[in-house]
Amino acid sequence: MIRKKTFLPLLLLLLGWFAASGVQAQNDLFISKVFDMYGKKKGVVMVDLSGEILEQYRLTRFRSITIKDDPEAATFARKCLERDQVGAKKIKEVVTNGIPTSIYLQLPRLGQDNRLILFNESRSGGLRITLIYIESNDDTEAILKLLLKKKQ
Amino acid sequence: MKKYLTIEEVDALFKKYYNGETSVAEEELLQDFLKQEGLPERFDAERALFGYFAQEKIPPQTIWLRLNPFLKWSIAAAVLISGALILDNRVQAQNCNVAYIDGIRCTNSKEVTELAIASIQQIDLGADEVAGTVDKMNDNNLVESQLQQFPELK
Repeated sequence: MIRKKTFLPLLLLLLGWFAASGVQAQNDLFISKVFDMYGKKKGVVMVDLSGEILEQYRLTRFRSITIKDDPEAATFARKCLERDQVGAKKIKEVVTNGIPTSIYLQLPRLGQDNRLILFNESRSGGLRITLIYIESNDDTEAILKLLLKKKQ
Repeated sequence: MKKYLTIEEVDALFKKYYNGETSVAEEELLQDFLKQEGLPERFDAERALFGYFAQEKIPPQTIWLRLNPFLKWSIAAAVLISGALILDNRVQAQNCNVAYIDGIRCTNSKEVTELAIASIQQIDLGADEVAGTVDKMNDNNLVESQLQQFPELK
């Protein structure tokens, strides 16, 4: 049995741990589970950027994950997106054969952060899904313009 | 059972007190007596005297001082570690520049940025379509213009 005097410091440590892990804005989203579950697996490329490196792009957070040849992960990502769509604005959705293959979501602002989720599924040359999460103080239009510029 | 003193007994005890002959128990009796409301003014000096000593005798003790030293240091350590965790997490979140390729960590800024741009290029942005949708989202008259398509609603 845990003694009372050891319980209190343990409780404080746990609270500190929770406080530390709960400071990231995207933790309230279901798609964060995709990053957590598949981010370090084989056949996956995950990128996580924040801070100074993004200042020139006026972004505060950029996370992306590309998963190849994993239908289970694709299904899971789509389910997470469905959950995150609640309360979000859908900017674009492309459905192919009844399956959403391209989705852009504008999430409700969290403080000053405008948050976007971009999802794409491609089957040319094998199944490949790409999921991007972006935080910025800019509005959606400015973020998408920036992304289009980077794409060209 | 608590003993209640008569004025005569109190006077006698004060006499003993000033002669330095009272016991601790007798001094406590005097303190209890002086705590009462509505005492004659002639006891004001003793009230002030005993009030002062009573305050001095029982210094205010905080819970912290009464804690077991082990617990005290454990709590201090827990608070410090928690603070360090929060700080570390915030610093990491503020300046993160990392990629995982097949589970292998990469912190090379150039490579990470290239991978980020590559992931953007994999997204089918459809420039015109997205721009059009964003414009519509920003258009405050959108609902009104759409309703105009249904004149029977007017």
